[in-house]
Amino acid sequence: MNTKVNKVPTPERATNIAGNKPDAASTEPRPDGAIPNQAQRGVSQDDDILDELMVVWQQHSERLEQIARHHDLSQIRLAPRALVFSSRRRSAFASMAVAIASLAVIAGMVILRRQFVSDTFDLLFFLFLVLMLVLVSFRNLRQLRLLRHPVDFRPSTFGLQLSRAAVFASVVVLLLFTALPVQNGRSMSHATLSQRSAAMANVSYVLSQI
Amino acid sequence: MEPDSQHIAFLEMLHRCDSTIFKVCLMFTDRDPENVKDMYQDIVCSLWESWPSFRGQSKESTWVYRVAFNTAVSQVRHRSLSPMFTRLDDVTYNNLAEESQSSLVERLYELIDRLAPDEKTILLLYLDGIPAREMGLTLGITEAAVNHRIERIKKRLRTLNNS
Repeated sequence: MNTKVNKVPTPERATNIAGNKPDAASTEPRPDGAIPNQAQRGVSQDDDILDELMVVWQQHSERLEQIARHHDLSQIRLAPRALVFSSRRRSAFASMAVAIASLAVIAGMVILRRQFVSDTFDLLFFLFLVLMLVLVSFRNLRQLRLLRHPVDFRPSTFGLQLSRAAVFASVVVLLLFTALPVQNGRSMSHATLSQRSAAMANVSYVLSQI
Repeated sequence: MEPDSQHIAFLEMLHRCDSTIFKVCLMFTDRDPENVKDMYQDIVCSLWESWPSFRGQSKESTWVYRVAFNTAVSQVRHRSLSPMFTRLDDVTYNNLAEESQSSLVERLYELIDRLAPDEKTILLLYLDGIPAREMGLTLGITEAAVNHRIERIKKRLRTLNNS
């Protein structure tokens, strides 16, 4: 287990892995392209593949550092902060507006469901939930990071939480209406019209009491 | 327009952390010129967007890693902000391309390309010598989870290298 600072191989350590200075042959890749392991360079087989990669990586990093030192950043022109701020605010506002509207529609339809018992209404409700999930997936579910801690560079953490809540609410309601068993023990997808209406009326009642 | 103090401070930070951004760009793309330049632009724009929120609560390198990884993994696009002037210049790209085409480095990236994005983030931090605790802070996971994933990545790399 790695509980200490990782040893970064120094050039001396990399040099001494093989016991002496490596010649070109000892660091060249095998004919099959694999990175030569230390056994093939005449050293212990106990060494970690990550240690071997680290040697290659350290040399690579040093060269990247040299390239970075010569990288001319004076040509970089950054967007004015006012533009960045308004862009983030627009994005956060749009995200929050969609999430609030979605939650409001879901809540409203669940409450109204008790008055309108019809397949058409149910169909519209399902279509709305499916549409919302499709829209969310177009906005890239990864950005919502549904199961992970939101990172601090997101424009609005509150907006992010609202969007997550809208997605979870949709999934929960869809599952409830689809999988909830009816009186004869079968799921909604196998129920008769009257059985479905009765079960969904009960669910609407339960949700409206929350 | 003369750059203000925020611009200057940001560019100084960028200069210090440029090599880190190069590593993320090379690791999370197929090294195609347009993809590397696009990734560099996206990361710089993400850093510039979140620059005001960086108040030094974490190390600068930790913050850069976190923003760069999230940009690379979530493929956030910033085409509308500074579309042309944050791209990597050709000279720098050519130097990067030449470096990444050396035989061992190329083989290294071939192995890395076969890892999942989450595995790549852990591997890059490990290869850069970042302690497990700091890796956990960067990625928002526990130190134990970091160690577990490192062990898993080792096994996977051993299998890939020998296959």
